[in-house]
Amino acid sequence: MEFEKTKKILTVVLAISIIIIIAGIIVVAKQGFRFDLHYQGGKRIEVELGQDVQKQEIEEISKEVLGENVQVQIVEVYKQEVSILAPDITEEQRNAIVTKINEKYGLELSAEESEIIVVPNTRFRDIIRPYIIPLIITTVIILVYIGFRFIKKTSAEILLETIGAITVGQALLFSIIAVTRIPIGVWTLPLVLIVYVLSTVFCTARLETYINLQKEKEQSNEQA
Amino acid sequence: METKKTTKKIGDFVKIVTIVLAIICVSMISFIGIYVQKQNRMENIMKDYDLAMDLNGGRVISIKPKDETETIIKDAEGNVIDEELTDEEITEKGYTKEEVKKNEGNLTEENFEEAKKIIIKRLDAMGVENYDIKLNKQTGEFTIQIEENKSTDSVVSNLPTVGKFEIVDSETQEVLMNNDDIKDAKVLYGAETEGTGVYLQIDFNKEGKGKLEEISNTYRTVENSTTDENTTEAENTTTEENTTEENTENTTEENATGENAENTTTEGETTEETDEAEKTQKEITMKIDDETIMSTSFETPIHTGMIQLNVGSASTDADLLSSYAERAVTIATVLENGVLPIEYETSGNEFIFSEITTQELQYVVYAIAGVVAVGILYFIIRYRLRGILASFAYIGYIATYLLLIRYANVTLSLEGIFGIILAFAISYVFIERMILHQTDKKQDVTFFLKIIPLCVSAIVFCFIEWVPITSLGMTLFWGIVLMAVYHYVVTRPLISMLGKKE
Repeated sequence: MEFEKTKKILTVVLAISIIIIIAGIIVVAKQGFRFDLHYQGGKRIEVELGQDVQKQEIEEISKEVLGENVQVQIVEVYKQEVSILAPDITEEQRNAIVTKINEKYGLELSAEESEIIVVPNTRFRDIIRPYIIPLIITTVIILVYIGFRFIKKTSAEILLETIGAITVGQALLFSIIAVTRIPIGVWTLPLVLIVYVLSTVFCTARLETYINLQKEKEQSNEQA
Repeated sequence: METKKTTKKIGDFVKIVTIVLAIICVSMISFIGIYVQKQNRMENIMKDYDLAMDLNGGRVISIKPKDETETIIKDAEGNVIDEELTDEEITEKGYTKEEVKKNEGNLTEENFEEAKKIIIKRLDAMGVENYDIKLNKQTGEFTIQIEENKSTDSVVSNLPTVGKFEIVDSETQEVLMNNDDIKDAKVLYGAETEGTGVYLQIDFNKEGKGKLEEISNTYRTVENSTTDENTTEAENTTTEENTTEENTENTTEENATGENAENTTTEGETTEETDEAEKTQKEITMKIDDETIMSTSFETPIHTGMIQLNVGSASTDADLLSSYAERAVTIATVLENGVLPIEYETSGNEFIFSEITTQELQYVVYAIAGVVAVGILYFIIRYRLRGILASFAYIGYIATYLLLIRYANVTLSLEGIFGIILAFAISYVFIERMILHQTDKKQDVTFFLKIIPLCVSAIVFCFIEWVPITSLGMTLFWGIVLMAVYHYVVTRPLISMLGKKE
């Protein structure tokens, strides 16, 4: 009974998921994914302060000049140099940043020394490339396991259900990312892996529960 | 009867107190550390977490196509003249001299993509387990971020190498073999009387095998003219050739590092002075990117289609052997992964810290701690005394797990942090099941059967040579192993002492 109830809930969840996935596909087809600065690239300048850098302070200065979409990183172990990455940095903006840094720290840095470097983007396929083979290997092993473990119950339906759950899980994640316009960044791939792992666990847990319920049913029938 | 009960109660109480004290002790070590005085300051002697590139930062290398120009001499009809001529001779012969950019004509998008493929192959072959590669399609410039470790410098030096391999006639500089003849290059190790030897084995394809056989016949060592110099032995950077067939003696030894050209000259001079017969000795020179790796002749013809080169001399010094192996791997990597279609030079090489700061990581830790605290509170409210003991056990699990991660050499990346969170969650569910079904082992079996895909993923991910995936695999693996052991050894006895839940 409870299993049937869960099945109904799952059908509703699946229907909602499909709607989100369709919306995601439309958004991706029209606008593509959004990437954060780490993958999107842009322009970068490096400023050598010659004294300990406070990342937060430089971040504030950079945001004043370049807007919110800025990535500040400390360069080299002595932590006296800073790298500022933004979608675009013009010469005026660079000069403004260096001037503000000079004012803040009482320095006399020359803006010309901070060359504007073009940072190319990382291709999406390069980002996901190392993850494809491990996920395929794991999926195959899990499917083989499911085949053996549920040998009596195994049908193409169960295997398809497992593959479906994994695919829907990933598609749903990327659709949510696309629809909400959350940029793909360093947090995305860990999420992909976790969703993958959870969807496989979900499938097996469901099958195990189903088998246990069947066993209990058989036992109660025998007793009756 | 009553005395027995009281003794059992006291015994259980002592056991509970002992376990709780042990948990407090482990938790303090794990969360706070062990501080000892070192040079007037207190220092935590506990191992720190090993952070991956996404959390720690990495070496950012920029390589761009060379801007260098080369002088080309052309005749009146526009044909390129290979001879070296003075300005006067050029004018005399009616030739023209042009300054041409080395990479001109090669700077196409196809070549950039080809170069990218080769660089990725090289990175993989050199065992770089985490990198981020960006290509500027307009300029052909690459920005590559790799992890900072012992081999980073070697990788950096390898990346812009074109990888042009040539075997030329030492005298005429005629190209006898090149990359097209190579099938494979690998590094081998062998036991020798002086210790372990590192070898670079170059396997040639069918065509190359034939060429090698012919060359080894043509460039055979003239009787009484074998050179056996040890001029570079002091530096221990000698590359010697085993003249390929396993049991053949070495014929020439020579330095294989940067100063190759110089050493070749030195060798020439020495040879001249020592033996008149050597003047007639024909030798081949092996070059990578126009730099001489070695010059040699052959004792016997080679029929196997492969040559084995000793990289350095046999040694028992692990560091020395590791440096030889690194050099051999570098050469092998360059040889077997193709020639870069463009000449590159390093334009930037610096360590850049991660965009995720320690402070931001601390927020994540606080958030996790908050969720754990809520979970513990739930245990206490719902299961009272059992909940308190289960909470202690859970905190002990977290503390032991975090210690294990540090000492099991797990490299933590963002994926690893997610793995830790997942391990915490699974362990929490497992403890709750233990409270609810204390002695029902069937429930435990069902639980583990349900998480088998997680175990499979953890094991497979542990073997993947990509740090973020390995990190997730390792954290999950240790989390599951510890969960199985710890909760049976600590949690179950602790909860069971209170008797069965009604």
